[in-house]
Amino acid sequence: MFWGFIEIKIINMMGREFEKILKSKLYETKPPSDFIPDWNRFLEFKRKKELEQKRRVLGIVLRFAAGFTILFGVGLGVYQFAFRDTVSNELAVVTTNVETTPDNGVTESREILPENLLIEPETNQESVQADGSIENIGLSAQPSLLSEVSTKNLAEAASMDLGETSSIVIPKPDQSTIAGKQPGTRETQVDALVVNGQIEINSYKTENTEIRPYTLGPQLIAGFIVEKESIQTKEQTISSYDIDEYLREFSELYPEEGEKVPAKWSTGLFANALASNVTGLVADKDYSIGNDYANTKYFNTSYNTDALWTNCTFTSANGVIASAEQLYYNKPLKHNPPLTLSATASWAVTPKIELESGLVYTYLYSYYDEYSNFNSYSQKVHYLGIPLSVAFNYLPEKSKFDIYNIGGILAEKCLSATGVIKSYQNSELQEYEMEKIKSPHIMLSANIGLGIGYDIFTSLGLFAESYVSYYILDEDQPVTFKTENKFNMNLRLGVRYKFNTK
Amino acid sequence: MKEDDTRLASKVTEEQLIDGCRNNDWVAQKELYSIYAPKMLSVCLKYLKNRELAEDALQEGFMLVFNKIESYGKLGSFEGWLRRIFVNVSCDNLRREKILQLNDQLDEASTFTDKELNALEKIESEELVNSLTELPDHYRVALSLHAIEGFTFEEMAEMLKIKTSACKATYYRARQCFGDLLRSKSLI
Repeated sequence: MFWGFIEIKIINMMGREFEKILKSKLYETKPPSDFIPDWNRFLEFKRKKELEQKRRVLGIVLRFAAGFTILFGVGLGVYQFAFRDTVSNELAVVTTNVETTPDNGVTESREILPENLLIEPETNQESVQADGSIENIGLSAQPSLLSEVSTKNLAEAASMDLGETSSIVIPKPDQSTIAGKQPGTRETQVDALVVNGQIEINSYKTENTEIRPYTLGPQLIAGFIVEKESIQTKEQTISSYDIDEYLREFSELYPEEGEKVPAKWSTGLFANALASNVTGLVADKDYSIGNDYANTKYFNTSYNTDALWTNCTFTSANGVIASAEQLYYNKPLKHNPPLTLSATASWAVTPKIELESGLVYTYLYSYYDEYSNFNSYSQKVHYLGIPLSVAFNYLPEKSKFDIYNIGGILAEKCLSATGVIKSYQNSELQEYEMEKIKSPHIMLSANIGLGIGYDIFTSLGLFAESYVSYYILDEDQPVTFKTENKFNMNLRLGVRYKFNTK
Repeated sequence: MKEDDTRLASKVTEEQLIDGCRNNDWVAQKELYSIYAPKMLSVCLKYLKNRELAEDALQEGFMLVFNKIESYGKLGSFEGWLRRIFVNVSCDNLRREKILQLNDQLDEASTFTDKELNALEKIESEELVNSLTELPDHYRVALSLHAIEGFTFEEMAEMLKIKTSACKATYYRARQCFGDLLRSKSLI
């Protein structure tokens, strides 16, 4: 053990001696002889780093925004569907079995649906004959929608906080509005409980008594009609009813002057405001996105050079200057973010759900800064696509704001793809253009996102949509921002015109 | 920004340069850069074999220097403070490039004989630098940090974000490998 301890001590001493020698010889070493401090290079490096930092921050913000909007949208969707009954902006109404007891002793049972609150109840009418006998003439008033009064009162009731229990009297409309009838005495009383903006109607009671002349001809009074109605609630259950939907239905039927009428059709024009790949930096003219060397894929099985280029060699007066293979082999192609312009039309399937389709044009620009014999290479690719999307709006259609989830697919076809080489030959700039075969395949992408809209005028609105795209099929497509960033995030801005079809 | 070349011509002390840099005076920054860039590049090159990576680390290091110069307390040597920043930046780059692959399996320690140490002392610095460059990255880094820069294993562990035991193991293996390399070249 003692000798072991001595051995370790010696090894440590030797080690320290080794370190001492190495430090004395290598602590100060000569810099490379060809190195000259270049302040401009430092400034350039600093500028790029700062730009990169800004992009990184913007990328994080965008990704956070995308994540938030998607989560918000999904959350809102789940909330809407799973907890629909507890949404505060709903009116609880009575669905009840009502026993109608007219004076002739016939008992009828019927169910009062929400609409019945706004429909004049059917009445049993009896006539008092000239000899004093009473005859049930079976006249029945046609149910009529009394939207104005009811809508107003229900809307008021919804916004009232009457405490735990209170009575709301919903007056019947003026009888003079009903042709052929004289005004009579009518009163409808609803005992309601208003809690957190919801109305729970506890009882519904209607009493009507009307006596009016029964005429057989002008100036000839044959008798009097005694109209009695007595409807009382016997049983009741509470259910929910969406007041927005309720009011919307009536406002559709009886729009007030100047009131916004829900649009069935709308058209939109928009442009891509920003594009970012989800895993990398935000695209910028100075920097490439994603894998710079990814265009070597052209020589993998998924990409076929021959299938994409008609002219694989470029010849000048001095002979062949490049082949497509030379041009593409292992060189970084930089991509600008896509420029997208769209024109779409939407059709409201329901007040909440819209189908959207149209045309989407995309322009993609990619380039090499330098390439061996060539000074530069640039590539322009044009796509035309047809989107098919479904949007689900969370806010009432009458609202000036829209918040909606949108998801769908986009099928795109490459219209043209051209590459241009600019090369100096004998100090003269020469351009060589090559035509790329249009890919026979369709590029398919799936999109999902969240949009917000604001109606500046009744028919014209602005909107912004943040969505994530994933390219499902991109076989044999020219290498562009899209093929290099299968999963990317976009922000698009636009205007939308809503057609009033009423 | 108009360049004031007359100020460059005048002799300024290191302290004045540091104060100038603290005030974001770009003339002082430029002067500091031109004085220390060659030295610091040689520091970076000990860790990053690739010249391009080393020059990037140099620029990155100076960005950090100008941003953090407020934290220099004037107690220790300024060059020592600079060196540490550049070593840190180089190590960060190594980690970012995933060059370092350290494990903490400690081999049996080996060392140099007296004769070998005497021979080592006689070897030219350039020859040693060349041999050091031939070592695998993680060995070169371990030798540079501990033997040349004098960082403790704990400091190394903190800089490289690895376990102290891994630093120790790698350093001992690096020393052995370096000895073997010098022996194979018949330098010791």
